[in-house]
Amino acid sequence: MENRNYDIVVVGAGHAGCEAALAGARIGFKTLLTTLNLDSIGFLPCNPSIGGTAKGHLVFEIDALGGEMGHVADMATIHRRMLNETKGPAVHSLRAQTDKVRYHEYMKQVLENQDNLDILQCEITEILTKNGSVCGVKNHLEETINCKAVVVCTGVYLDSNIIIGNVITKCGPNGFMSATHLTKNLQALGLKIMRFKTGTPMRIDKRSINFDIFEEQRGVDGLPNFSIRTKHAPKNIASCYIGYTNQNTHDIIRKNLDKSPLYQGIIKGIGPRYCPSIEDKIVRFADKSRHQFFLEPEAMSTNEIYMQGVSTSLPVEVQRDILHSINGFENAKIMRYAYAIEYDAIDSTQLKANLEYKEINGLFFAGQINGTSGYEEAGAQGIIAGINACQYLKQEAPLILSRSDGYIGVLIDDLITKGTNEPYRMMTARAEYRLHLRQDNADARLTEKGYKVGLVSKSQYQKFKKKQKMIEEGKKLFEKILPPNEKLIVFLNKNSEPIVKTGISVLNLIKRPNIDIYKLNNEFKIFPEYPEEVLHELNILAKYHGYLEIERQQIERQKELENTVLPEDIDYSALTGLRLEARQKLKRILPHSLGQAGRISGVSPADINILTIYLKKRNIKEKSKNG
Amino acid sequence: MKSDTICAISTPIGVGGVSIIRLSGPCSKDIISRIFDKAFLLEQKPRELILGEIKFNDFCDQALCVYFPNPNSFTGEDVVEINLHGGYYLTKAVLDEILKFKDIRLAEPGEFSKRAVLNGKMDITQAEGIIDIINATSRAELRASSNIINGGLSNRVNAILDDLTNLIAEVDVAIDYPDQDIEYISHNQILQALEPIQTNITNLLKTSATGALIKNGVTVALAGVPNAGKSSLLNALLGYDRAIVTDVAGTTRDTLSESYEYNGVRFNIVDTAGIRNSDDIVERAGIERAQNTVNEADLVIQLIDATRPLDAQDININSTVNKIIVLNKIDAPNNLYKDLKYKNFDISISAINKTKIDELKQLIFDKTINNQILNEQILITNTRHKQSLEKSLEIIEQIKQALVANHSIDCLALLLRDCWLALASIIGENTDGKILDTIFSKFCLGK
Repeated sequence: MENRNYDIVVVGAGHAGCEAALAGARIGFKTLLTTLNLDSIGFLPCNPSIGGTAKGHLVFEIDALGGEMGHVADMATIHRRMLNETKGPAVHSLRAQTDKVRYHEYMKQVLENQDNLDILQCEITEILTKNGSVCGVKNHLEETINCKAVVVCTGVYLDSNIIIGNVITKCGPNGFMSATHLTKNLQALGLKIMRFKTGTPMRIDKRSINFDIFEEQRGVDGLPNFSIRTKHAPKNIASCYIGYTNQNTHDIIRKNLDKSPLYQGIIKGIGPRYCPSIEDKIVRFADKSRHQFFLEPEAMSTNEIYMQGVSTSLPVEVQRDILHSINGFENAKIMRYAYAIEYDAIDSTQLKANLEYKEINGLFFAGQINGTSGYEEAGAQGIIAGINACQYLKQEAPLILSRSDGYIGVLIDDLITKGTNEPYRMMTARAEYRLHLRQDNADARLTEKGYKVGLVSKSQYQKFKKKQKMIEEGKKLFEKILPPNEKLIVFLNKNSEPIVKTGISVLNLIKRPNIDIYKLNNEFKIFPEYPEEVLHELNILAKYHGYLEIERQQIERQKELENTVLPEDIDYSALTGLRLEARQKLKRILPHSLGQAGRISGVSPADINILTIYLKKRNIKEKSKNG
Repeated sequence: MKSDTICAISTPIGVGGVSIIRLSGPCSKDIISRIFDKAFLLEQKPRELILGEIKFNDFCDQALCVYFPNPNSFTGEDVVEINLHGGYYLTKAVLDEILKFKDIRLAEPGEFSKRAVLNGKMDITQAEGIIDIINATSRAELRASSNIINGGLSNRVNAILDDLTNLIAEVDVAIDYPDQDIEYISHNQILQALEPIQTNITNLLKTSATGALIKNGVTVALAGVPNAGKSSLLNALLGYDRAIVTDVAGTTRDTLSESYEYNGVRFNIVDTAGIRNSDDIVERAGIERAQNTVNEADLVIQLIDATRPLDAQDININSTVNKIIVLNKIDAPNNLYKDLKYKNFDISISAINKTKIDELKQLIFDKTINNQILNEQILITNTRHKQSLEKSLEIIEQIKQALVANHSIDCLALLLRDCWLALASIIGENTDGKILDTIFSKFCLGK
C-alpha cells in the first residue's frame, strides 16, 4: 500500500501548480502534485511565448524567489526580443518564443526529478476539512489523500466549456478533460464562483502559408536570460512574422456577427478587455481599417503556426473565410480552430495576502482560478502560495510582498483588495513604482526573501550575494572625482559633452546624456572587472539617480500606511463614522494594513482617517492596559 | 469605536433674539429626552420644530427643538438643535447643564464640519468652503465660497485631471503595448498635450491673487503729509465719522483701520499718521508704523493738500508700491489747485464735502481688483489649493525639461503621475483604475 499522507497537495500542474509544488518540495515538505493528465503538465495552451511587458518582470521575480519558470523558459526558447528597449530601463521587457513541446517536457522532467515531490494523475473532487482546517483531498476514484495544506491551481479547467460557433464541448483547453466536481465542493466551502471567458486563435499549417507576404521579425542576440541558473544564452533559431487583416476580413466578420456565440449570448462569461477577440475588436473599434497579427511557431517539432491577435469563437466556416481573406493565407489550412473557453473562477477578495482562503486554514489558491490570465501571473501566484503553504505548516509569518517589492506584490494586492471582474492581466501601468520594479534588480528585491523562507538554493544565493557586493562597491565609486585634466577634456569633447573646469564625479559623468558607464570605464578603468550585468545595473542607478530618488520618496511616504497593521479582530460594524459602503467592504476584505484599506474601492480618505484615529485610541488603551 | 457626542452653542455669543445649542452624536436623543418635555414628539416628527419646555432643577424655559436622525443630518449623526430665547446667561446655563450628562462634551472649533467630512456628507473642498462661508465678510468672498461648496472647484480640477489621465493613458499604452499597430505618443506630442493642462492650471492659479484679496480684503493705506485730510477721507470712504478730525497737524498718531464694501469686495482702509519729521517720540513711532503699513498695503493713496504748496515730503513714497495720487481740498477757497506745478495726480476730490468719493472708490477698485478674474466662477481662496496647484505646475516644468533633455518615457510617466497626484490632492482623489479604463476604451489592443 502506497503512502497516502502528504504535507501539501497541489491540485493542477499548470504554471501555478508547478511553482507551488516545487516550492513545497524544495522547502522540504512532502508534496503531491495532481493533474487531470500528465501530458498537460506545464502546458502552454495559448500563445507559445513567455514574458513581455510586466509579464517578463514577473518571470524575473519568480526566478529571484527560487522558482522554475524562468529557467524552463530559457531552456525552451527559440526566439527572443527585448521589448521597450528604447523606452527606458524600467520597462525593458524580455519576451521569449518558447517551444511548447520542449517547455512541457522540460518542466515535467524537473518535477519528476524533484526530491519530496510525487506526481499523480487524477481528478480531485473534494477538499476535506476538519475544524476549519484542511485535512485531505478526495479524488474521482474515491481515494482519500491526507494532507495539511492544499493549493488549488485548477486554471481554466473548472467546469469549462469550449465554444466554436454554436458547438459547445464540455472540456478544458485543447480537448483535455475538464474538472467537473470541484466547483460544487468549493461552493459548499463558502467560495463565490464567477464565470470567466477567454479565447485562443487558430493554428495554421506552416506549409500552407505564403511567408513572402509577411514581414519577418527575427530574434535578437546578446540578451540576458530570465534565470540566474541558465548557463548559456538560448539561440534564436526561429522567426516570427507580422501581418494585417483587411476591410474584406472585417466585412466577413460583420456579416457573420449573428453567428458569434459572443453576440448571440451563448457565452456568458466575462472576457478580458485587453485581449479581445477579433469580432470584439471590429465592433468596438469600427473605424480601424486593419488589425495586426503575429505568426509564431508553436514548436520546432511541429508545423503548427499560432496566429496571435485573431482569437475568435465564430463558426468554423467563418474562421476559414476570415483566414482566406488575408493576403498570404489564400490557401492556408487550419489545423486547430480558434475557440472561446468559459470556466469557473473564485472571487479573489475571499483570500488573504498569503493567498489562503479566509475561512479555512491551509487552503490556498493560485493562478487562473483566482481570476487572472496568463502563464506568468499564474506562476507568480503559484510560488507565493507554495511558499505560504510551507510557512503555514512551519507556523511562521507568511511571505507577503508589498507593492514596492515587486509586480508579484502588486498582482496579489490587487487581487485580494479589488478583486477583478475580468481576467486580470499584469501591466506595468498597474504598478506605482515602475522605476524600482525592474527586471534587472528583481534579485536585489526578492532573493533575500526567497532565501529566508528556504526556497532559494545556496548556490543561487551565493551568486546573488557576489553580485550585490560588486554593486555596493561600484556605488561607492560613484563619488570618485575625476580631475579636469587633458584626458577628461578630450573624453568630453569626443562625446560632444560640455567640458568642465573643476573636477567632476563619476556619478555626474554617467548622468551626462552622451556618456554611459561603458564609455567611461573603457577610458578611465574606474570599475574593476565587473560582469556586464553589474555594470548594467550601476549604469541605471547612476543615469536614473534623480528619478529613482523621487520614487523612493513616494515609497517612503506610503510605507507608513503600509506598515500600519489593521488587527484582524477589528469590529468594523461597531466603528461609527465609517460610511456604509466602506464598512461593508472593510468587513469583507479585512485588509491587513491601512495602505491596503485605502486601495479598496469605496473606502475614501475620510474612512482612512477614521481608522487612523481608531488605531491611535486603541494603542493608547492597550498601552495603558499593559503599562 | 463609538464616536462620542458633542455639543456647542451654534449662534454667536451675546444677547440676541434666538440662540441655538446643537448636539451631535449617538447620545443626542437620549439627552434631549431627559431635559425636554415634548421629546417623545421629536422622534415621531423628525426634522420638525417642536415647542416645549426645557427643564432643569432650578430653572426652565420654553424652547423649540428639532431632531435630525442619522444619516440625514448635517454631520451624518443624530443631531438635536435647541432654539432658546436669546440671552447669554440662559444659553450658557443650558449648555452647562447638558455638559453634566455622561458621554457628552463640548465640541472643538469646526468639529461639526469635521464630522460631516468624516461621515462622507461632504468632501474636503466643500467643508473648506463651508468654513469660508461662515467667515465670509464680503459678497464676493461669499460667492467664491459657495461656488466651492457646490463642487465648482472639483469640476474644474476634474476636467484638468481628465486631460492628464488621457495623456498618462497614451504614455502607458506606449509602455505596456509595444509592437501594436497604433501610433505611439511622441515627446513632442506630450509637450503639446501639456500646454492646455498647464494653461488651465495657470488660469486657476491666477485667481489666487484676487482670491486672497477677496478673502482677506484689500488693504488701502492713506498716506500724506500731516493734515492733508487723511482722516476726513477715511470718514468719507466709510460713510460715517470714525477718525477724529481736527485741523491740528499730527492729530492721528497711530494707524487706524476700518473697512467698507464696494462692488462686493471688502476694502480695509488704514489711516496712518502723517509722515513728517517730528521730534515727538509718540508721533515718530506712529510715523514708523505708517511707513510699514504703506509698504505692505495693496494700494497706497497718496493724498495731497491742494491748499499748500507741494514739498518734498508729498511725494516721498516708494515708487514700487501700487499707488494713486489724490488731490484733496479742491473746493477750499484758498486752494492753489490752478497754480500747482505738480499736475500728475489721478483724481481730485474734497473729502470734507464728499465730492467725487464714488469716483475715487471706483478708481481704488480698478487699481486693485482684476474685474475679469473677480467674475470667474471659481476663485482660489484657500492656501492648500493654491499650494497643490503650484506644486503641479512645478512638476509640469520638470516634465518639460525632461522632454527637452529627451529623458525616457518611463521617467516621464513617473512625473506625469506625480503631477496627477498633486492636483488630485485638492479633491482627495486617487488614480484607482481610471488610467486603465481610459487605455481600454481608447485603444484597440490585444494579442
